[in-house]
Amino acid sequence: MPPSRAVLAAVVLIALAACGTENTGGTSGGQAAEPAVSGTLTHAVNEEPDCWDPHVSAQDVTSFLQRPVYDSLVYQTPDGALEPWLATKWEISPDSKTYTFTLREDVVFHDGAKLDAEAVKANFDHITAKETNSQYAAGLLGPYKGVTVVGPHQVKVEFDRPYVPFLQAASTTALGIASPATLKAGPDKLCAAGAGSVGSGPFTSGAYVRGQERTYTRNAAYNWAPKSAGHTGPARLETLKVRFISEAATRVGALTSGQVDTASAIPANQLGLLTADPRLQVLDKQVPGAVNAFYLNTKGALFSDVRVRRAFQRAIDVDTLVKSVFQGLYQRAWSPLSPTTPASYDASLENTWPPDPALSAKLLDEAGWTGRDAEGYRTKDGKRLTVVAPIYGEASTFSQAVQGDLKKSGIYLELLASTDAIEIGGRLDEGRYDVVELSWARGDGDILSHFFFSDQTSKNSGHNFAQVTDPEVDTWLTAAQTAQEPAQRAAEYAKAQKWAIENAVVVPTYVDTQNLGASKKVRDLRLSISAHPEFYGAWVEAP
Amino acid sequence: MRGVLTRLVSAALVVWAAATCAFLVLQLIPGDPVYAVVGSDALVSEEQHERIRAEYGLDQPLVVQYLSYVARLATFRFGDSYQLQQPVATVLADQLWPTVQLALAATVLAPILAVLVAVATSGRRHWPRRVAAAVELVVVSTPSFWLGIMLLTIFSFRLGWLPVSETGGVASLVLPTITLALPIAAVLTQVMREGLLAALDQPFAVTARARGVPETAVRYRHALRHSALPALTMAGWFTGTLLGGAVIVENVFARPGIGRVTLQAVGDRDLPVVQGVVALSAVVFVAVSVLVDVLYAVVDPRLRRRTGVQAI
Repeated sequence: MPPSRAVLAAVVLIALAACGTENTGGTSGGQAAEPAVSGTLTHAVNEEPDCWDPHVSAQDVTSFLQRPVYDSLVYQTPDGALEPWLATKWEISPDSKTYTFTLREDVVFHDGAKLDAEAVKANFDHITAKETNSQYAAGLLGPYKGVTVVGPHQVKVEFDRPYVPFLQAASTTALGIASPATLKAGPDKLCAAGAGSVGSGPFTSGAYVRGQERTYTRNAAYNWAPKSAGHTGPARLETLKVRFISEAATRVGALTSGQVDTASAIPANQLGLLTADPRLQVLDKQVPGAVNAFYLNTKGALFSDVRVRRAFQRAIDVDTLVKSVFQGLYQRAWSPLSPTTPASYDASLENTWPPDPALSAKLLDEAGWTGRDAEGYRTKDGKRLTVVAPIYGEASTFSQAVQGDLKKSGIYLELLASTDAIEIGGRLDEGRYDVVELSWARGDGDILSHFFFSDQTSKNSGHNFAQVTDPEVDTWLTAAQTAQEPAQRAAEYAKAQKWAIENAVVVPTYVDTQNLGASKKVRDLRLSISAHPEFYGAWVEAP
Repeated sequence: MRGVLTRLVSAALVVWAAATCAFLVLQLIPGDPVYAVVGSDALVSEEQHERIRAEYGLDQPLVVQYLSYVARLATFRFGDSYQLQQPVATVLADQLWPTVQLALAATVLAPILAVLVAVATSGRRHWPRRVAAAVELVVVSTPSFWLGIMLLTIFSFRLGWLPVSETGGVASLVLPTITLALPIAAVLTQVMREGLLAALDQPFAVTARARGVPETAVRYRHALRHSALPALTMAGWFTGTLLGGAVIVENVFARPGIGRVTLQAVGDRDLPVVQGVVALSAVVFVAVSVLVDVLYAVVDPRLRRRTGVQAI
């Protein structure tokens, strides 16, 4: 178990213990008291959604902030297990192409409409409609074919090819189920969400001031929480307020001075301050999905040579760099997948490719990079060994540290930083790069398909920046998308991870970790699979 | 009547020139603007790219894009925001009031501070002037980002007197206003004190003192007007500082407003919003310069047409 989970568990245990001792006064017997069912929680978040329609937006913050409002067909527990939510059960056809969901019959949307098969169909139709211009949700549906109403509370979703990752996709807010009437409001209204969005979630979305805050109110009729939500019935909080505080110093100050109860995205250098404060707690969790990693362009002039790729992979002292840059906050990564990605992480890769500058030097010599220029970089036919890395925005401290480390091995990592998404996008589409560094959150191992399946090129809006076109890899990834048994899927994903490391198409670096600062008065708050706080079961102790 | 017409035409020209500059600069960026629309995290197909291109008219020749942009501008429509999926005019209108509030408060506070400090430190004794000048220098050279964080740390985080960003109340306006007004006040003070000291050396000041007018009255009633003129000429700079300062202040204090939208739009490469903000700023500049021309005449009787007195 990684340390962050241990910390999380400890925090929850402490919170439960404290709750037990403080509130048992009035009750008899061994049972802990029911927590006070009231209160307001104010959360400070660093980003504000551009567009509030989760069917459209590709922003993580939209998914997070609409989660209290929209329920999904399936629930993914913080550990990654999938369980019924709006759907009481589902059947998957033996060829893994057809999913038949049976819906709960007691679910009522905030506007009074009832959940039925037609409502679910309306949502899928909205997501896939051309006019919606979905930037993410439609992509999550993969080889989507269509949706049909089977009975009043039964829908069938069909795909062109086997697509098991659909179940996890169905648990995301991006595929959340909105009241069908509101989907007709038009893209501008759904995006602006000035008057709120209408789902069936434990909170109704209320007043919104762009640039300031969004208020949510408890949905008193809520009675369809998933089994593992940690609570049943209406939410414990009466009101939830989310304030948009983009400036980290202001956000942390608002938390330490008690003006907000919880705050996301605490910078690493402020974490010590929070953990030292007896009134505050820090929750953190490794984000599942693709870790921060360098993807090597295997079709480029430089990295088409596997020896040069391997040399690059083994030249970087990842351990030391991650420790010094993130001060122990993040763990180094051994696989392209994060350890918290459900049923797919291959732990056997750990410690299998330690830094080895000697091996790296030997490989570069073999590949003909034997010369040295005035600055100490290796050369071949008078050309410096330059690795071009386009970066959107500014080069991070970590990228710069890697650059410094590679210099020792005579490799020049050229960080081409630009705030111009257009220029960077063009470069990626046309393959004018040697490496791309990025991470991608997703609570399913299928994220590997986005990175290594041959048709997932940048132009096709995939992330196959390593330009892998290996029929064997495609076979494994397809098998993983087809297999219904988690263990079988994990085995297929393990093959792909091993292959990616052995062929040095990727250099995983560190595991993104989300943290949350919170007042100790906030109880029963936990981080979801995507490492965002789940407010449904939370409550705030009266002052 | 003719003067008004000339003014209007020149105002329109200024706005047109600013808008054209904004359009051209944003065209200089190489590559495909569709990437800006869909963002970097998106999962979209090539076919969808084409649809978006057509939707925003990005498949038209540049001249056509420019003409339709100017035509929209002339009718006060700025097109739709790429990211917010709403008309830019609506976005800006919704965010205008908080920024106006902040700017007005700073516009009132900065001159009051400047006048008080300038008058108080323009006496015969030198040391108040030296102390004030040192403080002014520090304030002017402090980044307002840092100033805002310091004020927040002291008065909100430590003392708890004022909120970080409570919804719309007067208390939430205090610290942002001070952060925005202080650097402006510091520069204004320096300019006004120069003017005051120069005016106090003039023969009319000696005459007034000789008539037995108290020193404060000499400064307030007679010398202050002279120092107001050079301060007024700085109105353009003042407006620019307010608009630029709003971007920083609104983000530090987590306030809604035009500055917040501008920063987000620049970060997201939301070109229609950026163009809208440029056009809006041009209009504000023009309006302010008209206002200043009127104020010149109010402050300095020599500039009024009918007085017939020659300005020096």
